[in-house]
Amino acid sequence: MTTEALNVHPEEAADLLKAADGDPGAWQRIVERFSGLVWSITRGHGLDNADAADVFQTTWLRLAEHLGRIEHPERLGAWLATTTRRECAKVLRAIRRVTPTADITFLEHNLRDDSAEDVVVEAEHQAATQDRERRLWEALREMPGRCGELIRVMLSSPQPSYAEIAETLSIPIGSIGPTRARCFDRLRRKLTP
Amino acid sequence: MYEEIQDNALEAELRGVVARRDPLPPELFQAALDAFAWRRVDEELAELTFDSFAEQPLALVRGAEPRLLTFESDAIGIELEITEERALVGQLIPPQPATVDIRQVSATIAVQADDMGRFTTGPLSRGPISLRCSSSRDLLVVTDWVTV
Repeated sequence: MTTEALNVHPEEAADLLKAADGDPGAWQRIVERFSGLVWSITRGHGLDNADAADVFQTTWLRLAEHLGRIEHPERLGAWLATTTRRECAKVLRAIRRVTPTADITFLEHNLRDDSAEDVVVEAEHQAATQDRERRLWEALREMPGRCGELIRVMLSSPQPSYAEIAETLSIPIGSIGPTRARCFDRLRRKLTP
Repeated sequence: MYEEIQDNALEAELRGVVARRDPLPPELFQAALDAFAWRRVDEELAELTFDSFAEQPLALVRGAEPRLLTFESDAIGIELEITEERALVGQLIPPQPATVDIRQVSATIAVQADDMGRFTTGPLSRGPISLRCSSSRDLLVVTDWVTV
């Protein structure tokens, strides 16, 4: 069993050909399949909202122009991932950010907090849950380099398989499990005060 | 074994955190759908063959650092400098007059390359750009998109 055999996606290759012929439905399926992945890579590089949005758009515009020219249509995910990563690196270079995650501002989605009049126990439970979530989120944001990228790609939606993660990040499939364990250890250490 | 169960629980928890705190913004999903309208129909693609920002810097230079790009198609080469203010200074190779559309998602501006193939713009707004070069000599080329 080779990773190559695992990573062939004939349905995606077919959609790519259809999109090149002008089929918007095929394009939409490609966007639904891979937009979460592209987003996760920009965030895994620590890009802030505006930079992540620019890279995300550039990647999709690139694909639109390259339709019909993708060398391995069955590896579209890897093409998108490589394009996104290169573009992230250039944007980081352009803003000369030495420590990528130092000054980023993320979307802070307002968490629903409409149960304030619930019983005190529930409120306390919620506060603890939100505090845990906030600390997890901060720890995740501060994960550097390879760990940050691997975890974000792993958590992208729709959830990628290990074969797809290996293809996306150009790493051996066998290294994902051990790297994940190591990265989660680091994350846990950040959580303990 | 116990570690694996713990790791799976942590991954599930993180998945929820990311889904709530940092989902793909809907307007960007829409932007990806809209990108389809920019696919090439008749234009030839001039691919990005050099980007000074893709090279490792010799030193971490502070201060002015223009970005130099080269796009190439069979018909034409385009040398482009992006200044720190996001203004463009371009050169068509071989030198020739042409209309150069500076394409951004929000708007397209047209400038003229002179007889020497030179063109310039004022500062652009941030975001992806692509150039579209056309002339009476059957030239119709678009460049790869780049983020400025």
